[in-house]
Formats: sequence, C-alpha cells, structure tokens
Amino acid sequence: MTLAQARAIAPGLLYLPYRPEDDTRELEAIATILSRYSPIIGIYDAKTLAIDMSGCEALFDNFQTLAKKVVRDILKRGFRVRAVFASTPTAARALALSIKSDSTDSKNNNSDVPSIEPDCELESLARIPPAYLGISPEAEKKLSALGITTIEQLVYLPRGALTARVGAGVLLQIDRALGRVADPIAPFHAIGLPAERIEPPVPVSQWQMVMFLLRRLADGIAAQLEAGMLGARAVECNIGRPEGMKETFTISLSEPRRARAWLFSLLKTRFERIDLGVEIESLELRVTSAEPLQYSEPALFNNLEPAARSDLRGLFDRLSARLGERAVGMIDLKEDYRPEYNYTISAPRMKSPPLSERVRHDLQYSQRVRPLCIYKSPVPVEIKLNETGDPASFIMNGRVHEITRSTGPEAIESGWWDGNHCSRYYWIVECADGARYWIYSSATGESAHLHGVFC
Amino acid sequence: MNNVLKHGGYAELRCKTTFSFLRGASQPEELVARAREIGLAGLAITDIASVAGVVRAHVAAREANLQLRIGAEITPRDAPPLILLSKSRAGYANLCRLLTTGRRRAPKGEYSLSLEDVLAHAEGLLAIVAPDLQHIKKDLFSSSIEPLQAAFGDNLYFNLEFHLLPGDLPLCKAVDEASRKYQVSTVVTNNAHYHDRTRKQLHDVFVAIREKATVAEAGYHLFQNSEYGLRSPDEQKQHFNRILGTRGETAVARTVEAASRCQFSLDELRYEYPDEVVPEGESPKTYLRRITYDGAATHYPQGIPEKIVQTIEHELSLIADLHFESYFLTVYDIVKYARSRGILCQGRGSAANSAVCYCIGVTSVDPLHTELLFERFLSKERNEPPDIDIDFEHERREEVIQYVYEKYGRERAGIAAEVICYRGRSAVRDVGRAMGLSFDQVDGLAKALDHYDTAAIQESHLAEAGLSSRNVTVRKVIDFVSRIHDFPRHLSQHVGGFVISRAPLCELVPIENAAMEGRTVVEWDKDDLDALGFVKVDLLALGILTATRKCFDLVSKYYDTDLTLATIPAENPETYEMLCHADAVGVFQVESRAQRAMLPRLQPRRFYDLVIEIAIVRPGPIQGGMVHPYLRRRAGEEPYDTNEFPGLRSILERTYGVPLFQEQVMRIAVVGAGFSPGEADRLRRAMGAWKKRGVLEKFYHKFIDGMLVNQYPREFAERVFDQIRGFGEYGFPESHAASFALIAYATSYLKRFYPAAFTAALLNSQPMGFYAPAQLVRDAREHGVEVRAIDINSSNYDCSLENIMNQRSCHAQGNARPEQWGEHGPALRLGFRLIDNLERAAAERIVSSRDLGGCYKSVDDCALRAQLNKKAVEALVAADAFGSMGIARRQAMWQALGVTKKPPLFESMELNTTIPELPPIHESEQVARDYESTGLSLRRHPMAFVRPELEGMGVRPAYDLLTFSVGTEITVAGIVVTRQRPETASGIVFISIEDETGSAQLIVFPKIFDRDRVAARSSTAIIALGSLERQGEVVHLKVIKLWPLEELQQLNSTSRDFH
Repeated sequence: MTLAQARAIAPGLLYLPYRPEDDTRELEAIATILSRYSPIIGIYDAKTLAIDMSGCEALFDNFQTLAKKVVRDILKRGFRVRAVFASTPTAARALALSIKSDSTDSKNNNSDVPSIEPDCELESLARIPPAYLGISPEAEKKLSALGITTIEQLVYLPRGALTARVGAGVLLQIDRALGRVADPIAPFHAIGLPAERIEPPVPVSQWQMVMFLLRRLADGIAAQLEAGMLGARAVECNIGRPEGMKETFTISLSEPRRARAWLFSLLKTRFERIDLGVEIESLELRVTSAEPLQYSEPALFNNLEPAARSDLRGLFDRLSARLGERAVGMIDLKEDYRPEYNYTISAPRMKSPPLSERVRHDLQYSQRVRPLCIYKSPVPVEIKLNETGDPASFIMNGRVHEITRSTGPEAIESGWWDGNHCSRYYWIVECADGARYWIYSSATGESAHLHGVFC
Repeated sequence: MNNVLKHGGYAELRCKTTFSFLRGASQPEELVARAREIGLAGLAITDIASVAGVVRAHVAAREANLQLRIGAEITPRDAPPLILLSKSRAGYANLCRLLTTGRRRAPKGEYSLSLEDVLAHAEGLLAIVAPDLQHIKKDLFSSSIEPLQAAFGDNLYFNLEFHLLPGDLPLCKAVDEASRKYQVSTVVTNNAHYHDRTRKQLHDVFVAIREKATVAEAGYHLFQNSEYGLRSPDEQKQHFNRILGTRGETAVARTVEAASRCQFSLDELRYEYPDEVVPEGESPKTYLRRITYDGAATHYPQGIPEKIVQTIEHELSLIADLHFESYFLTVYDIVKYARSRGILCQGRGSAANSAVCYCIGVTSVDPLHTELLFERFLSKERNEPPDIDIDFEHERREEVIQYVYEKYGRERAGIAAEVICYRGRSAVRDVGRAMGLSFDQVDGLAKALDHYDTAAIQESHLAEAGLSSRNVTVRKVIDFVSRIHDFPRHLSQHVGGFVISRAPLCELVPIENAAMEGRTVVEWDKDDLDALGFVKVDLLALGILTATRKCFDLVSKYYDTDLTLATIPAENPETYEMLCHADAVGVFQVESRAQRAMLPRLQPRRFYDLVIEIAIVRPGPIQGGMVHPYLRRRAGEEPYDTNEFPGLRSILERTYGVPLFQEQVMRIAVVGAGFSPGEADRLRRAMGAWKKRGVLEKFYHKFIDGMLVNQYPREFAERVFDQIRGFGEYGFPESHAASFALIAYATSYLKRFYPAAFTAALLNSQPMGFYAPAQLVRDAREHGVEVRAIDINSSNYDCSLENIMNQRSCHAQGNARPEQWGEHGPALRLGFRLIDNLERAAAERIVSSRDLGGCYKSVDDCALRAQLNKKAVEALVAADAFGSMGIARRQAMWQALGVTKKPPLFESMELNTTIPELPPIHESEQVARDYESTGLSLRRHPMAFVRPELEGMGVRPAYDLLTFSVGTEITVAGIVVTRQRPETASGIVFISIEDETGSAQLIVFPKIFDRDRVAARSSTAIIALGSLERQGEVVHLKVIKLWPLEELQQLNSTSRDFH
C-alpha cells in the first residue's frame, strides 16, 4: 500500500519518513542488551536476531528459562516477538516465521518458547513454505511454478537436478536448516564512543587542579579514539556540582581530531569562561560524534599555505570553543532569488561543497550585488521618490537620509510556492554621509524596508 | 499588401508561444489578443526553432486586425541567439529551410545549427542579435558581428532588453556601444514568454517541468521576476528613456520600422500538387478522364449506365474548374501501388460520394446503387481542397508510407504533426511533480482521473489519492492543471495525414524528425494545414482490413475459394439473419455493445439497412431524436406518409422520412429551403461547429423562411431544424457509412460461413477490434469451431487451420443452427503468437526446424534444435505447449528449468531426463496459468471454480438473466470484458462481464460508478447487484451495487476499456 492509499483510508494519518538507520540502531541496542545471555549474537536481517545459546543454558537452568528471559527483555522494549530455538539458526528462523501469533505482553507471557528437538528439524519444518528458508525470490518463484510449496516436497527432489534449476542457494539453506552443513552466526560487536569520567576525592575549584583533571580526561579520550581509529567531531563535557547541579557544554570540531594536546587546548579555552567559584565534584568527557580518522591530512583550502591552513582550522575551533558552537559558521549559497533564502549558515569546515554551475554562472554574470550585512528582520522605512521614480530620500526611525545616488530598481518576485512570496523592488542607495544601504519597496508600494547595509 | 504599422509606437519582435514547449506560457491567441489590447503596432511570433504556432497566431491576428510577423529564434552553437524575421516569401522559404536543416540533424525535439548555416540562409530575412553578458565577455558576440553584417547588411539589428535586473544596464550599454562601433541599429524587445505578468507562476511550473525539478528546486532556472510579458509602448519608452535616454527611445520606435520591413504573410503561401503522376504526353485532365472511364468500364462491363456517365461528367467538370486533377491522381497512384502489393485498402468519408473516386478504385461505394452528393465532398463555393482518407491494412500501411517517401523524397513529402496537449492525467503528473507532490500522490491522483475526465479535479479524485483541497499546494495543483488543459505539450505525428507538394515542402513549412525511425513530420497539424489550404491525404490503418485479407488467404488455402471484397456474394440472407440476432462478435462496426443492442431492433435484411445501422448508433442521430422515430416507422408502429412532402420524398423515403445523414440535411436545405449547394455545405459545417454559439443559428431564419416559401409547414420546418441542431458534429456522411457497411457486410459473411478462418484471422491481427482473444475464441467455440491448444508440434507462429474430415464451408447449411456453423469446417489451431514472452523469431525457428527435422520428442530436443534460450522454453512451458507429448505442465517446467547449453561433444546426446514426482496441478491453477501466459484458456472458465461460493452468496449465472422478468433484482458476477462510456450517455458506463454461462451487460450510472469506483474502474472481476431491464432480445442489468470479486483479481485478464 502506498502512503497515498493509506491516507485515502485514514485522512488524519500521521506519518513520519522511514529511517532504516533508526531500526538498525534499535536492533543493535537489543543485541547489546541480550549480550548478557550469550557472547554470540548475530543480526540476521532487519527484523531477526540470532542468539547462540550453546553452553549458556547452565547459567539459567535450561534453554527454556533462558529463552523466556530473552523474550521478556525484548517485550519490555515494546516490540512483538516470535521466538524459536533449534539446533540451527536457519531452522529456528524458518519456524519462527511460520508462527502465526506474536508474543506481545511481557507481564503475562510465560508460555514456553517453541523449539525444535535435535534431529527433528525435517519433521518440524516439513509443512513450512520453502520461502521461509531465506531463499531468493527468483528461486521461490521457480519452486512455485513446479508446485513445490513445502520444505518436505523440496527436500525429496534430486539434489543435483534441483541445483541446476533453482541455484545452489536453495540446497545450501536446506542443508543449513537440517544441520548438514555449518550454519554460522556472524557475531555482532557493540561499539561505544569514548567516554571518561573522574571524581576527585574532594571537590575542587582551583584552576590548576581542574586543568590537571581535564588533562587526564583528555588523555583517556584521546587514547580511546586512537584505539578505535576515530576522530572526535563533538565532545560533551559534563560538570558535576554540589547538590546534584550539573553543567554541560559541547565543543564541535571542524574536522575529526584526536590529538590530546589539541583537545585539551580547546577544553581549556572553554573553561576560561566558566565560573569555578562553585566547586566541581565530577568531570566527565563524552565523545558524542566521531568519524573514522585516517592518518593523512584532510583536504585543505587550495589557496593557503599549510601553516596558514592549520591556523585557519584552529581559528574556527578556538572561536567556537570561546564563543559557543553556534557563533561561528560558514555561508553556503543557495539558488534562491529571495535574499533571505539565498544562503544558509552551516558549521565551519575546511572544504566547502562545490558551487553548482548555475550559482557560479550567476556570480559571474548576473551583476547582482548584495550587502554583507543583511538584516534578518528588515527595518521599516518610508521612501520618497523623485520625478524620475528613483528614491530621493528615506526616513528610518524618524531620521531622514538624503540619497545622493541610487542604482535600481531590481525587481524580485519569487517564492509563491512555499507561502513566502517576495515581490519587491530593490535599490542600492548612497547617502550624503557616504553610507550605502539596500532598501526595497513592496510591489504594491504599500510598504518599504531597509534590508541591509554595505560595509 | 498594405502592411504599414499604424498606431502604437512599439512592436514586440521577440515572443514565444506555448509552441516553444515548456518555455512559452501563453497560447498564440492570448498573445494576439493582449497585443491588440495594449496597443502594440505589431507582434512577431518567434518560437524556438519552430513556426508551429504561427498559423494559429495568423488566424487570430487576422480576426483581431493585428499585424503579425513570422519568425523564429535560434541559438547557433557558435553565436549568440538570433531572432530571424521573414521579410518576404523568399525569406520565409529560407527560414523554413534553415529550421529543417537544424531539426533534421538532431533527435526529435532538438536542433543543431551553426552561424554558417544561418549566413547561408540570410536572403530575405531580418536578424536581431540578442547577446547576454556571457556572450559579450566570451567574445561570442563580437566575433559574430562582421559575418552577420556581411550576410544581412542593413537587415541586421542588435537587441536591447530591460527586465529590472542588475545586469540589464551594463548589457544595454555594451550593446549600445557595439551598435555605435559597428554602425548597427538597435531595437528593443521584451523577450516575451507570456502575454501578461499574471502568467508568471504558470511559467515557473513549466520551467520546473522542463528541468525535471520542483519549482522549489528550480532555482535560477526560473526568471527572477514577471517582467517577461508583453509590454505596452509607454512602458517600454519609459524604461529605455531612463537607461539610455533618447537613444533608448529611438530603439523603441525603431521596432516599428523594422517590423514594417517584414512584409511576409502566410496568406502568400501557395500549395501545388506534385505533377509526376501524369504520364508523358498527357495532361492531368486527360489522364484523369481516361482512367475514370477505364475504371467505369471495368465496374460496369455491361455498359456504363447513363446516370453514371452524367455523374462522372459533372464531377470531372467541377474538378477541372477547381484544378484538383493532380490531387485525385496522386491518391490514385498511392492506391494503385497498394493494390499492386496485394494490400487491402478502401477510401472512406465524404470521398465515397464521388463516382470518379469509385471508378478509379479509390472508394468502393457504387454510385449506381446509392444517392451520392458530390458537393458534400467538393464544391465550387466552398473552394477548399478535398480531403480523401484511405484505410489500409494496419500491418502493411508502413509499406505504403515508405513508398510515398521514396517516390517524392523527404523534401516533398511529410506527415502532418499532431499537437499533443495536456489532458487530465498528463497535466496532473507534470504539475504534481513540479509542485512537489510525492510520486505516489501524483500517481494516485492521475489514476483517479479517467481518460475522459476534463481537467477539473473533483474532491473524490483527491480523496482517492489521499489528498485534500484544504492543502494550499493541492489547491495550486488543481488550479494549474485546469489552466493548462489543451496547452501544447509536444509535437507528435498524425496517424497518417500526408502532405505532398510539387515544390520542396521544406520551403513551405519546416520538417523535423519524428520519434519513429524513418519518419519525418511537418510542424503543422491538420487544422493548420486546412487553414492555409494545404492538401493532405490521410493514409490510415484499419485492423479489420488486415484481418479480412488474412481471412481471404486462409479461405483460399483451405477451401480453394478466392474471395475479394468485390466478389463476396451480396445480400446473403443467412448473413443478415445472423446479424438480426446480434451475433456479431468480431464483425466490423457492429460488434460493440450499443450496436448489438440495436441489431435486433433494427433487423437489417439488406445492405442499406446495414448502412443505417452503422450511422444510427452514433451521438448525432441519438441526440437529434431521430433514432426512435425511425425505428417506430420502420417497425410499422408509427405511420409514415410518403406523399406528405412530395418534394422531399426522394431524399427521405429511404429513411422513412427521418433525416439520418448529413447529405440528407444538405439536400433538404437545397430542395426544401432553397439553399444553394455551397450554402448547404456551409450549413453542414455549421452543424459541426455547434459548440461555437450562434454559428448554426445564423442559418435558422434562412432555413425556416425558405421552407415556408416552398409551402412546408412551419411545424415541420422547426422539427427538421431541431434535428439539425441535435445532429451536431456527430452526424455521419451516408457515403462514409456505406463504405464501412461494405466491410461490415464482408466480415459478417466471413464469420457466418468461415467461422474458423475468420476467428484465426482476427487473432492473427491483434491488437484490434472490440474484443480480446479470449472472447473471440469463446465465440468461435460457441459456433461449433473446434479450437485446439497451442502445441509444440502443430502450432505455427500464427493461428492456423487444421484439416478435419469432410471440411466444407457452411454455405450449404442454410438452416444450420449457430452452434453448428463450424462443425464441419477446419479446426482452429492457436498459434505461438499468443504466448507472452515468446519472441517471434524463436517461434519461427521452432516451426522451421520442425519442418526440417520432424516433430520434437522432448523439451530438451526442442530447445536444442530450435536454439531456444531458457526464457523461450519457459514461456512455452508456461503456455502448456508440450502437453501433446504427454508431459504435464510441472514436469515440463522441470525440464525447462534444466535446459542448458550442452558442450559440443554432448550436443547430440540424450541426457538423463528423469523427472521426479511433482505435486499434481489443480485445474483452477491450470486455468490461471493459461491466462497468465496467453490471456485465455480452453479449459473451464475461471468463474466455474468460484461458482460454489458465489451460489452460497446468492449470485446467479449470467444465463439466468434470460429467465427473469423485468424489474427483478438479481446479482451476477463475472470477468470484466469491456467498459464503455459513450460521449452522449451523460456519464453512464456500460460494462460487459462474462462467466461460464455467458455474458451480462451492466448499466452503471455516474453516482454508482463514483461510489463503487474501485470495482467499476479497475477490477478484473466484479459482482453486480441490479434490476433487470429488457428490450426485445436485449437484456441489461441496471446496477445498484458493485463489488470486486476478490478471488479473481490476480487473473491475467485485461478488459478493453473505451473511456
């Protein structure tokens, strides 16, 4: 069913875009939790986990008890579950898929988890469709054309001839399910981002002590990043104060870094703005965003010397560290005639995305001039025109600005499609005092504003 | 020509219409009207490398009394854009040649020209160079000036534009400076893309569509503002005075002077027929006379009747007066070629009114037995070229087309264009995407519209797509969709309208490549060509002619009887008896639901009855209220006094006093109301233009007064005129109905007496006709034809006949029941062509290697000898083609899946082909697989398998409809065979369903259709509750409720939908 069909049935349907990465994250979280039951957990597909319980049952009385605990843990996270245990993952999965009803209630669910006894795989799977073995859709279609609708029918077909007709994959899945060949689980390894925490024996407030602790934390983080071949893009610092008070700030980095000195330097810069009068009971550093970090230097500005590039990179990070992560940004030009939508501000980085051909062409040939300072909220003014229709003066905040020269008008009519329609005539005006302004009147002439200043 | 531009002071010399597809946002008529409104001295239409829109602009400008200039805008690869305007006829010819050169070099829709190309075609043209800042900075402008000056002289201008953009002033100054330097005058244009600035939003949508983006993503592809419309003279003067002072004002005024230098008008175009069709030593006149009388002698071997001689002389005289001999000879030449190749063909339409056309073999309606009205076809007063349409076998029409190209060359022959315009679905798809709706929303909304839906989107359509008119974007989509209805989207080729000229056609109109290989099209469509008096001949494709010829071939082969359209025995009573019982599946023109409902009422017993049958089931007679009076009088239920109006007796006698044909209306106007033949023809045209208010009413007083003068009662005159009003544009010419009736009779005869051959021919000519192969096969079996399944060792690519004992035609069995007609004839063997996914080449290899090496012994044997790949073998198995070998479907599939290319050493070896035991296949699955593969099954009907459940639900078989009384509420179910929504039916949809016992005809009113939309529109099989209605033998169910029949939704059965 498409979204349109669903909304035709339920007009008030609330929908969100599907993000497979959210599902993956959730599945990984469940796998991590279940790792308390078994060292070998595999993510089979988008909806299936395989847990190798071999040797673990002794810790939990028996397989059933263990299996029920697994099911309850998953139910607690709000998911429906179908669980089966068998001597091979493929057999377990096939039987699980064939189960009609899910376990849904963690409190009241205490029924036994279905199981396949060893050496009874064929018997248990006999009536199940071959599709549940995880064969390809093409193979499934061919088997359907042959009238093969159960695993039992499939198993008794001549193996060589079957392979020639539907591919080796089908036989492999049969053999895995029946334990004739190995049916390994590719184990899942949870990856955590580096974090370090320190609680001094007594609360501290002296600068040197705090720096000492900070340096130790930075060292620990750096070591973990190095072990994971990662570079930090954002580091969160949590400061624990007396009586449960907490203070948190985040440092964003323009590119992945893990050098301990650099990290410490940024944190130190930031701490210079923090009130150390109230004592610190705990300090924690947590990497909240990381990227793989190669040893080679990242791409650089193409018109700067290496030393200068490094200075520039450092400048971005230092300014961010001192003024706050939102204080420093880069302008990305957008193809929009409306001045307020013509650009976005993004986090500073060393490599800007390439300009589109149209933007480059526009920069080169349009002769469009824009002030460096554009007001987010244009200031209302009153424009007086002369006999040729050009602006002669404008009044802003009660003050008259006599215009000695003007360029324009430039007409902009755009944005009707998103509710932010702009229909304006712009002039670049120069006043007697030499200041240059960017003013506009609406197309209807009912209002006028100052939109920017040329520096 | 007095082409002096008077008022205004400014002429717009650069203007794009909607024929600059997805660049211009206003129709030619809108631009002309707006130009007039704002007082422009003149307007030049300069679409991008095209003159496709100029004819409409020309017609509109003539009516609006606006001076129109003809041109085009091109951008050479190595120069700035150039606006080229035709100064003279020679200049226009050069423009057309230039555009043809550019278009023929490039794929459809594109062009490729160099500056050199332009220079070579400069004679008679005025050029305006329109550089932008990029051209200036890259020296493309300066490097092109001198060569342009050398070629155009003082016909060269530089362009100035001002759109309130920052770059305008530096550009204007640069161009102005260049004009001073090179001594080239400047003119002002506005590069108009629409007629009025309010059209800007729609223009943005077009740009987004063109760039395959949403309007939000289109960025700098869009114009920055709405300054690209037509500007008034005052506006232009004001702008250019500001930026360039007096030089600017002078450039504005100079547009009028430049436009005045361009004196060419489309009225100057003269069309001439080719002359090589006339043998040496003869003139067109003498040659036409000779072949006419030669043909007459052949048609009337006992001697040409005096009536025919008189008619011929009358026609030849008129043809000579109007100088149309060459046109008739051109058509004759084409038909002669087709007949020499054994291609069935026949003229249709008003040309069948001509005795000359009959004698030279272009048409088949014998003037001896019909009342022809030549003035319907050609008249001095009308002074328009004739229009002859010829139907050819659809599978061989391409041979005729290539003959025309070969004989006259690509320069002198071209197919007329067809302007593909935005309609509901196409508009929704393009606009929806441009406005940012998701793919599934656009798809859902488009599919919610039926093909017949006008551009108005209803709430029900939105709801079906999960959209709401409360959403602003959706409202905008609805608005834009309605506004672009009928806007040109792209040019395609007409189905078969050919223009052939004496002079190179590319000097009259540009020619461009069609999408189809080997085809070139002229840029003008049928209406444009008509408006300019160009003559074309329509070479049309008719599937039934292919089927008829194939049937003749089969009859010749299996019955040793050579039949042609001319030698089929006329007026056979058994044939008419068959038609009277509406037994007409497969028969041309009378197989539709409506026709089959009429046949038992009209009871055709002779040829003329068939002519009426074909003409009467059409919107014209129905809306004109002629059908019921005719039927009542024919059945004797209403009196008709032939002496009532003696003057009109000869006109109306044959139709019981009710005018059914255009020719009758024209004759009544002449005889009864004193119209001249030309006036009568104008009345006929006015009938066709009834949608335009007041056109027909202009004739009202003349008609009524004329009838009164001739002593006809006012009541009668008013009644006849009311019928004329109702006729509208749908009335048939009698000649056309007669042409079609010839084929209808021929196919009826073939069905009656050679049902197996007839069905085989129909199957071998698909797709065509009203019914799918499944219904054709069912019908054949119901007439006693043994239909044999596709078989690897017996079938050919085509369906064929197989000898069975004592085969003979059903000719001798005059009293045989319908279910016996095929019993003693050959069996029909279904052919490989019916199998999905089996290529013809593979099928032919199966047949040829079987002919060489004998029958196949196994799947493997077939695959090896016929060199079939796995896909082909699987397709054959899916169709159960190996059944005759005793190999069940699944076993055959097992073998097919195992087919591999053997190593050379093993090629001749039989490999171990042990087949394991596989589950048996249920018959219902057999039927489903049959449908999946071939669209039909010879086993039980799919409905038979669900009958037990349906019985439990109270659903009756279709056969039971015959036993219930009128008004009974009854539920039936079946597979949907056809859906039809006639234009005159006020939105009623007629659905035909079929079950294992027969078929049922459902009448679905609009409210029911909308409410039960899914079942009504698209379900493969449906359940219908309704009340029974009956008219004679014809039974219908007036639907109360519809449900999809879920069990059969996956069946591969495609209905024929005509809505």
